[in-house]
Amino acid sequence: MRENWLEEGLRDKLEGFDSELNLEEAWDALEQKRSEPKGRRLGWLWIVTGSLLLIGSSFAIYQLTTNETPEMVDVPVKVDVSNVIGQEKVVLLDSENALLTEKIFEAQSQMPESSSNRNYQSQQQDTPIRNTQIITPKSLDYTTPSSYFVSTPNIDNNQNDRTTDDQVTDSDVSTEIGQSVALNQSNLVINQFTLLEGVTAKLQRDSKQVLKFKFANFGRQDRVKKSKSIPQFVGVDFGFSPITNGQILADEKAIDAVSANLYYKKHLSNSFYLKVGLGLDRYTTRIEGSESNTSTSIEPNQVVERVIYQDGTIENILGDGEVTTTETTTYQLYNSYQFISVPVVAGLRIIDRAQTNIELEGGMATTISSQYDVKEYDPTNGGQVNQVADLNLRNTSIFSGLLAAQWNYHPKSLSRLGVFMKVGTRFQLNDISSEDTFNVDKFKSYQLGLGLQYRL
Amino acid sequence: MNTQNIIGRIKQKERGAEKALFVHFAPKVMTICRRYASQDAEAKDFLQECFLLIFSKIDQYDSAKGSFEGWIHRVSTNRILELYRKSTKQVKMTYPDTLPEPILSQESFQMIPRQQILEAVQQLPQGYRQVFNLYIFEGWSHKQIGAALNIAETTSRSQLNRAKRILKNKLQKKITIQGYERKLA
Repeated sequence: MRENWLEEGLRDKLEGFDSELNLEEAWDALEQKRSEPKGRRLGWLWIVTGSLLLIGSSFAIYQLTTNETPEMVDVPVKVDVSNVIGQEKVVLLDSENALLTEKIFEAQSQMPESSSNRNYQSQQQDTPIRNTQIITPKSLDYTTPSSYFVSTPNIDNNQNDRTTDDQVTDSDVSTEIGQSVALNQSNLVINQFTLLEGVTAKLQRDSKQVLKFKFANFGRQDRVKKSKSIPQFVGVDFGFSPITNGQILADEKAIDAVSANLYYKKHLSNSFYLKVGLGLDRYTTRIEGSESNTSTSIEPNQVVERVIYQDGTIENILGDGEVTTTETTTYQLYNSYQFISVPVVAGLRIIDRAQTNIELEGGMATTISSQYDVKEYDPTNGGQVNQVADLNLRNTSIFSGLLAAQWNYHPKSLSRLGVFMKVGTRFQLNDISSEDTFNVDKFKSYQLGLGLQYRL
Repeated sequence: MNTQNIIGRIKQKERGAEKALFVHFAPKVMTICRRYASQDAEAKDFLQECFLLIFSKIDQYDSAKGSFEGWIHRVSTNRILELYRKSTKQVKMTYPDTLPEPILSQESFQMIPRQQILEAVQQLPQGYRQVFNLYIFEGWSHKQIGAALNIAETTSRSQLNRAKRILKNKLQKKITIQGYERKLA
């Protein structure tokens, strides 16, 4: 029995009992406490704000530094033309005049008879020079293999009859006589140099002259190359949490969680990336319990007295007696909590293969909106269930920590599209409860997710 | 005191309204705080925390849901439990498995002053004291207490029984001491 004299006595004596208190002194102490700064709360704000500032400033610094125009370096190119033996030799030199590569064109054999008397004055031609010869350097100490597209005027070679329009368009290259070739020093790769329409090269067939070319590179080529080495992705994933715990109401137990995320991911280097997006999380909880109602009534044929005789026999004396009846009602409720949040995640690619890679990531999600479908047990109303519209729970600024490991697979057949699988955990950091309820155990979930991501 | 009037004045940031509310309800809230606290200094800290929360959340009080006194009681209790959960101080007290069978009678209990009963409750071990208060004064079930304090339901039951035994023994001791004091006098 819950009720007994001690419990009743305690309630009688202490409920509504006014403690002796020096009210003026207590009020002054309260006023003094109220004027103190909220150190702990400020500490939290500092941590969150500091983290966001750190991530934001890292990103900004990266953007600012990598958007600068790459430093250019002049590399002279010497074109050695000799028509005596019907050959044209193109020589590419580095800044110290060391030989980088050379190519000899068999001009006579490649050219039709009518064009044998060419004079290399492309300005005088009606049509643009479109002949391109590929020169592949044999030994260059460059980090990235590359091929050179060198135009030589009026070499009418079917095999080499590749229009330079595409290359010109891709690289925004122009050449001018009397200047030098400008190259991207950051990777020292000469991608292309081409004689274009408008180039004047006053060469004699039997003389040797030095031509200097210059690339007018407006940075576009560099940007194209950068986007290939530092990729960006957009992705979507769906996750299910088989292991979830946490509660808001006292008897509540989390049973599962699902999540969906839409995100944008940008690599800051080959292995480090940042990810931001929009996430929807939904927790389902269950409340199980029972409530007992005890009633007392007077019933006949109850043992009202028990007589024990000296010989050990026992006689039960029956009569009208008090009977206590306990009715137990069990109940089971399902509640749901939905959160829309903005996750900010930093990640590290730890294993990188041609088609697969594994990434570890961690960050924080801030709730910008939430909705609660909460049912509450009301023991004062015969165990009826009340739909609680508003428990004054916190709707925004609920912070959650995120940790995940992700395995990505990019099949060749799907080009830019990839699939991934991830396992992760999400743990709520601050309290969502109001003073009507309290969040004893903050939500935690271990999630298994699948997703798609598209490389931009 | 017209509670609704004072609440309205507090919402309008009227100077002095908060103090009027404090003066009216602080003794009752202090009793709650003393029941949960181990000593008066801790109870005074609880009192301040409770009223800071009451003043900041007073907009959320809905008179349709119940009395203001009940709301204050609920807010204060939850605030105290929250403070205990956040507290890093862990008080570990061990009591002998076998406590002497209490002989406190109902008649003797009625003779004990309220203040001394409150002191006896304060002397209960922290965990026992929380279970005891939640069960006896807040009317929570053992399942609710177990979930709130992160303990098993059976632990809540056993802690309550042990708390009651300890309390009875302490109260009995007080009666005995009082008896000796009377004799000595």
